[in-house]
Amino acid sequence: MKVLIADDDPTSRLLLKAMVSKLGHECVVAEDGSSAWEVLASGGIDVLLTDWMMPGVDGPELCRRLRNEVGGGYIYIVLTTGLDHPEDVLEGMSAGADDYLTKPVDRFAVQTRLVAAERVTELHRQLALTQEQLERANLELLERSLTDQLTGLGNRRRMDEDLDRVHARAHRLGRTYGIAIFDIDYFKRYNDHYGHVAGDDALRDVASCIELIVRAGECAYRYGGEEFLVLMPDCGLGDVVSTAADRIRQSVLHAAIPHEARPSTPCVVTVSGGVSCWMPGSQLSAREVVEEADQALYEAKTAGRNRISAAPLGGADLLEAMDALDEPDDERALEVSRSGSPAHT
Amino acid sequence: MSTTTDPLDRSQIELLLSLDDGAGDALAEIVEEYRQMSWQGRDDLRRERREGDPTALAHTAHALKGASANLGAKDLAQVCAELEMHARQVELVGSDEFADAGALMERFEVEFTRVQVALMLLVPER
Repeated sequence: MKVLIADDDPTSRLLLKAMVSKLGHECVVAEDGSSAWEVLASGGIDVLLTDWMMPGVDGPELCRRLRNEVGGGYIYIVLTTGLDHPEDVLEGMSAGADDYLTKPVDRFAVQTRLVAAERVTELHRQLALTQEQLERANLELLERSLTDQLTGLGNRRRMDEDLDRVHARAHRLGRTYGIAIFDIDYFKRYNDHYGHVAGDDALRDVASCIELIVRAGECAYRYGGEEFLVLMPDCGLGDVVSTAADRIRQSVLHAAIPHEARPSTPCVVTVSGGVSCWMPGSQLSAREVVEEADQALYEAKTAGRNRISAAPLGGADLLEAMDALDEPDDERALEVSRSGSPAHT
Repeated sequence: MSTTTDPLDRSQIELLLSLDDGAGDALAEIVEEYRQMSWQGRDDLRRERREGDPTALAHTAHALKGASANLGAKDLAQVCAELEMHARQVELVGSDEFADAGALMERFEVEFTRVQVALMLLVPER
């Protein structure tokens, strides 16, 4: 152990240092409380043997400071005091000392304290280690509770949390976000034809395709059985959401996972997608934005699958509305032409 | 307190010798430190008594008490303890007179000399 001896009396310092060194411990000395505190603050000390009376920072004050200090390892404190003031002992122990020694110190008394110190500091080390492992395990557990075990993507719960956060942020800061929901086409037939193990593999492959394409800041989740959701904060305007969604659709198509049971060409696994977008001024809740994307997905399915469909926005087509927002000058021109010639509307 | 007894507790000297397995370096080092601080301490005690400074005197007596005990100078440590206690009482009462410090100081001077002679025989001055 590394032992710090704080004493303003040079004979006591020498005596204690010789005793502690003889017991095989490393020894550092300080001539008063202030320099002791500096040594303690620089770390690495296991045991503090401190005199009660010292000019400046005294023993009890050192104890209080050490015990109020958070973090770092546990430092075992032994106060050395004269026998003439037994009430000092109680005050010192209350201030945070673990034990005390009466002066003049006896070699075996020092040895006894250091044996206890070794055990206690080791216990504290073990405790800190266990605490750390527990915290890490908790973090892992939390991470696992938010992850879909099959695909490694975020699960429904993580999606709910992230969506609420992104929605609130967009609302507060006047930002946009987009949502794309994908569903694997004819997945029931795939399972029936290839079996559920192969079905799981296909889910994993599609998840990988999606993960490869999503950009930094965007997040992909397993939304349902064979449904995936991609959340795009600050998706920008224009047809960004639809374009991004279509890149994912193409990525799955080009992965060319055979699907012999698919009733129409291509005979590979494909996805259909529905997209929606939230923009400042919209009254829609986050759930309603998801619902819109879901509705659009349904349209993509009925329109023949392996395609992306966008949710309408306030009566206008989503893509058109976003185009308009993207180029404000054109938007104004559009409005002028609309109000100028009602026949166009 | 008899002046015929050994001014140094030999068991404490044995302890100091055992610290470096009888080589005596640790003992010599501690004795050397003690010589310096105790002679200085004696001069301080005399001056503080003359100047009537019980606070400073109590502090000096306390330091001499601890260091003397480390060397096994039990009787000297005892006189120092009494001096310290006396000075604290004077400090508490607020009197600037060291009423009966004379007798205590005399005992201190006698015991101090005995200890220094014993230490000289134990570890010759370098």
